[in-house]
Amino acid sequence: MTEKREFDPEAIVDAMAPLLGLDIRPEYRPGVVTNLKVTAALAALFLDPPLDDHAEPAAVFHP
Amino acid sequence: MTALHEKTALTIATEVASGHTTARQVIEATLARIDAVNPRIGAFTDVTHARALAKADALDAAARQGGAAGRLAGVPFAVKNLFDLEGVTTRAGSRINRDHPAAARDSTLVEKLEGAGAICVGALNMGEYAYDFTGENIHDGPSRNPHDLTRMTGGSSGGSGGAVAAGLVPISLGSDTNGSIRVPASLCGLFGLKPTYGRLSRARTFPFVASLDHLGPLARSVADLALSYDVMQGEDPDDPALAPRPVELTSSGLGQGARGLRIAAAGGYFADKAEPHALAAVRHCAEALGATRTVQIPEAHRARAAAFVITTTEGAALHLERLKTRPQDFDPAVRDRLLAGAMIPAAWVNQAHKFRRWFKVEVAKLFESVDVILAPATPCSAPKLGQTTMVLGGETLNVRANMGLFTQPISFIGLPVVAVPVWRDGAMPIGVQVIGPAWREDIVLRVAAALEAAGVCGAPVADVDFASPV
Repeated sequence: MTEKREFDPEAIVDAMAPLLGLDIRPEYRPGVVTNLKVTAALAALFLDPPLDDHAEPAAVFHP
Repeated sequence: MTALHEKTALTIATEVASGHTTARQVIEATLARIDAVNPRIGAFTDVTHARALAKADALDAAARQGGAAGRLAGVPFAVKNLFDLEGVTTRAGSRINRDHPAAARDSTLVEKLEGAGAICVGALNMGEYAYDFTGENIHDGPSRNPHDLTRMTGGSSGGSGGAVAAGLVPISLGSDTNGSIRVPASLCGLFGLKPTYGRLSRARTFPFVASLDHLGPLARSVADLALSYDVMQGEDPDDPALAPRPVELTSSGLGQGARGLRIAAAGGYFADKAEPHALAAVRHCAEALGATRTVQIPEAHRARAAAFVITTTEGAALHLERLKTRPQDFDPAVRDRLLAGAMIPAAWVNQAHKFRRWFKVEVAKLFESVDVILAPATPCSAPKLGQTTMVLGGETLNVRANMGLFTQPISFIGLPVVAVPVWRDGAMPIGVQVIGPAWREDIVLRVAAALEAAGVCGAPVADVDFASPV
């Protein structure tokens, strides 16, 4: 099992921005990194503990 | 005699319908007041003089030929500038969307209000792309709070709050994804209705987060809120999220008051980061309603977190192409949040949606033993313009991201809320959320009307300061 690593927003920006075609200019970077940190901290509140496999997402499509 | 700018929509409609005044007279006076006051408060970005006067003349001509007056005959209103207005470019608070062509057709809710005789007089300032709780706009200047021009209106429907609080119009429309109707209602001292998710059509409005976007009215009386809500209901194939429900009118039931309703205040999360006067406002409402019970909305902090993640990621997906091609044209505060949102793992978003269903079920259980829950609308009253941080519960927090701490968990599961304005000791107003179970707008409007009738809540027109420099 892979050991869980600390969330690294700088590494996320370096890896994801080119994949998405986003140009993170130097003046944008501190704001983007701060927002990634805030978002990750908030996400941790509902990612751990996880809901069980049968929990349905809220959006249900009616054909 | 009450001046026109202090009259409710109901009074104006009655006077126009009875021939006491004409729509032309109402609209001319409204436009003159907007032209005089708006430079002080920055509420309007587009004033549709010619359109409004033409509609007024058409309404008066129809009345002269014996046509029946609509329930909102001659009532001026204005809309957040993310609503399409035929002939106006829908800027959605942005610089980028200003390059779009003018809208070809009005948004559904504008059509519904005008179908009842109301007359749109323009489009209102807002935080860029609605990702905002301050009402400050980097391109158009800030919406200023009419009760204190040095303070925020709150956002993102900032102009919608300012225009009604300054008596420029009796009714405005806003959007609320995480609190953008309830926050300005709180900071500007107004009544604001965020209906149940899927209750009112969002067709031909610029979106933000399709999973969470709601539209609704702000007004200075509960009767005006209910009347406009009643008129705006109805089917619309142009909004796929609209629920297939019959029209359920609320105006005629307002007089029933709060009798027989089980009302409780929310504790825990909804008290921890609130300033004392926000909690005092909730207590004041609870006491007036005879409510002594406190309930805990389970895991509200996680609900807020999940709403935050859905918002930033769906918002980023909406704007991804613009983020690639025109990042320099965004408000930097909005751009950096959206850029971060674009890089969030899909698994987190999916988990947020799973949590949304779990939370909906848990809160529905709570509503088996209670009919209405009271909670603060904002943690504090209006911050100063330009203020970026605030201290709540000993923690320094970003204003733009946190004014919606108490609204966000509720819109996350789409519950209907009326924000009611409480004034104490000559201080700035602060709102209380009157929260009901899904589809029970009738209940929350009744409770708001009871608080208004008891004098606990009210929305006086601001005495706008014309002396100080802005």
